[in-house]
Amino acid sequence: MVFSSLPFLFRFLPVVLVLYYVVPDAWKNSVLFIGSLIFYCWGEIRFFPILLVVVLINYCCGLLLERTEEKPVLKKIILIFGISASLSFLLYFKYSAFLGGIFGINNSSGLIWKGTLPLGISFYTFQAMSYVIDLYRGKAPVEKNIITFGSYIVMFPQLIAGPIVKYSAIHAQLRNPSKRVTTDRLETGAKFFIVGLAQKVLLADGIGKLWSDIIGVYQNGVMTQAGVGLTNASTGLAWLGIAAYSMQLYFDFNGYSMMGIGLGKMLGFDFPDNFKHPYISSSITEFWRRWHITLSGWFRDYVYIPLGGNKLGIGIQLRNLLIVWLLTGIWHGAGWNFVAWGMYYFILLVIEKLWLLPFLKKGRIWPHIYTLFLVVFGWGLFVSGERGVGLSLLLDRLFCLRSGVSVSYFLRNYCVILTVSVLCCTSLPEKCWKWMEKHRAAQIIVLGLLLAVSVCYLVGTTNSPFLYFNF
Amino acid sequence: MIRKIKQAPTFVLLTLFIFLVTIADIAAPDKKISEIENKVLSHIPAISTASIMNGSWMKDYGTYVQDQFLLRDTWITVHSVLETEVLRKVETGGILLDTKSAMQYPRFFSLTDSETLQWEKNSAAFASFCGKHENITVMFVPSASQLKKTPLPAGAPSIDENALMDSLFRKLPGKTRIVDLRNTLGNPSSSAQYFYRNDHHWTTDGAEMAYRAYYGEKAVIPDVSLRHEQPGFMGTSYSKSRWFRAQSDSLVWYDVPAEMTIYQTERENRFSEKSHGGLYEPDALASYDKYAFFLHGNNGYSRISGNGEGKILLIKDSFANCFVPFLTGSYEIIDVIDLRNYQYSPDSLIESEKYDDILILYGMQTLFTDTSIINLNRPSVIE
Repeated sequence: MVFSSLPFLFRFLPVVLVLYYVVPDAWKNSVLFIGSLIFYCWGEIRFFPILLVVVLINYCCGLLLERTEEKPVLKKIILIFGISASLSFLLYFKYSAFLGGIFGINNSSGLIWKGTLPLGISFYTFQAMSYVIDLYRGKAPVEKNIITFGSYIVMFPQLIAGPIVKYSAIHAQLRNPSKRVTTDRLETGAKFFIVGLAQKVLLADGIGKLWSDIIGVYQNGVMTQAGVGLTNASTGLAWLGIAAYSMQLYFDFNGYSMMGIGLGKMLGFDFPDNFKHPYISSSITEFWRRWHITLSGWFRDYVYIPLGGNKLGIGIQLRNLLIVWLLTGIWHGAGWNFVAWGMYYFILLVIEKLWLLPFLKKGRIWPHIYTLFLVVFGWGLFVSGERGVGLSLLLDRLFCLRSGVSVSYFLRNYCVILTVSVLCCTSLPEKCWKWMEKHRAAQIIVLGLLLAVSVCYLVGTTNSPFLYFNF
Repeated sequence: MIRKIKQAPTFVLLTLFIFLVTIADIAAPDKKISEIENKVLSHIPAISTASIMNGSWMKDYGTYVQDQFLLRDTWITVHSVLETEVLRKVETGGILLDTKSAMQYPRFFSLTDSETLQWEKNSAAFASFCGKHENITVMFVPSASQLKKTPLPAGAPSIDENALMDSLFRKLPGKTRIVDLRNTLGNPSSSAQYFYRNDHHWTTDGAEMAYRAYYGEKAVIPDVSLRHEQPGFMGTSYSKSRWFRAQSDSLVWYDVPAEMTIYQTERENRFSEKSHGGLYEPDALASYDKYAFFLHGNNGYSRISGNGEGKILLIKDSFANCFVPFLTGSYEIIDVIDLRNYQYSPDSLIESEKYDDILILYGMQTLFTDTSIINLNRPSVIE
């Protein structure tokens, strides 16, 4: 189930909220747990057993880690077992085809999975690993109640698309249902949810149409709506296209994260921010402190720092960065374009760290242009594996001066949404928000309008008439 | 309580909105069909273990909620208004909009892979069929967007339909007569309206021009006293766009003295009479899809009696529905085949009926998606 859909907003959410608020505090985690399992099964019932197995294995590892508190060797073995068990599912479902291609293992050995990924596996695997690692390090106590623990892994606000919440950050809230629901959290949660919904439905889907007008729309690998075709696009249009894609990706991911954070708040949980206006960054280093913060935070705390971070000299630091960026790239997808994308950022970050950063800190305008250009091009690399794109075709269109379908029609058709999108990538929305926090009446009107317009768009985009009567 | 509401107004707004809409949505009775979307709306899917286990129930339930959502058409119209008036877009719902002429054009930025493939198959099917018979004329109706008289909004990308039509004509054998409707319908100086503003079909006046081009000087145009106009026609393009600024079209029809027999296809070249009557379906004028008024829709095989001489076979899509009334002045018997509902080759019919003329009339847009045209060359199944 998707947050920005009619069945979620007008069937699942009201039922779950009513039950959650009405039941006594001791039952709240059960409502959350069962509701989230239904949420998961709605989208992907056949991979439900895997989710349960991951929950069970990590729950048991947690219990065993407590038992082996005084036995470091055994404790380490259980840690490694827990992490490996969680990772094994991820490796099989997400990476077996890619790795098989590298090592020449073919399909018939039964080791390769070529179907769709189990929903949310990239996110809940990382949350599960966070549990055993935090327990091992003594950062959080074991959770003996399987419902409470299960809620941590499966809770629907962040199950499918994050933010990735570390166990140590949230275990106190999980154990104290009575302290969760406060007026403040309800109010902030509702605001986040509406703004997130509007970002996803109005901005992301709106500016995303520019990009799909170029490359076409694909469903299950088949083109369902023709675009101009990247082969026919001029260089200008190709750049406009990936700029539009960059904005779509941000609003989509940020919007969804905000909806998740908002839902979490309304249920009484404080999730960390996932984005902080990444496109106003003045360096790539800064960009990665503002983009998908919970993922880079996870890699920093569970990979970079355990490997020594920057405390063991520059050589080790570079090695650690390389490992983290390989993993970051490959986490986003099992393909060479994702590896290339990760390496692209590794190289840029090393250049900044070793040389460029002081100069960037002194500049006023050029660091922003530098960052935006490199980030937008990076998204081009990122998306180049998708149907209708292609890395060599994209590079050709971007860097060889090609004539073709020009930007004029697209600038005209998308002028308003481009302007609004660009403005929403700056810190202007934050300033508007601060103003509205002081003018509550205006804020309610604006949020109410955003909510109504978002529902308009959710219904409007389901309009699908047939040319001749469809029996 | 009031204090708490004042402290959390957004939360109250959000939850009230969601709860009220949900309850009203569930309480509202389900609709059976949507006239404007030309489809049967889904109803609540039956629960079964199997359908839940394979996920189909969830998917169907989602479609049900969408189809039956409270005030669905109103939300869709408001969405369209926001797109065109607030976002100032010139395209919505897959339709390109021209504010000056109030024209709505289905968008074809390029052809999808399956459309390209279907086009190749259909072109080859026509070429092969035309090679088998002697007295064939072809007419393909260009899309309004391709003609100088009715151009797209400036700069809008489009397929080169002209080049496609040229390539199709090149494939046809020399003996086939080609009537190039681009010349007939493309003259910008004419003030008549050849294409509907809100529908992908041509108007009856456009069909009349094609009839004149087909039959030449001997064309018999119905008397103006027989001409009727039905205003308030909003067609297929409007269904998709719901454009706030759309101006409705008038449906023109001639009350020609002709009768039509619609047949039920038993099997190849074997029919039984289903109904007999006039050329038009009056009930359609009161519904949304007014174009279905012509020829009672798209029947597999029907026969029309005219006031002229000779026999003609017309192989067509829906574009010819408003064209056929003109043929009644020139022919005595007009047999009409729509391959979507007669999925056999017309060869056996041609052999038994011995037509004087055979006319193929299709809209170009149909040729990208129609999967029934290949039946032209389907081997006979008669023993």
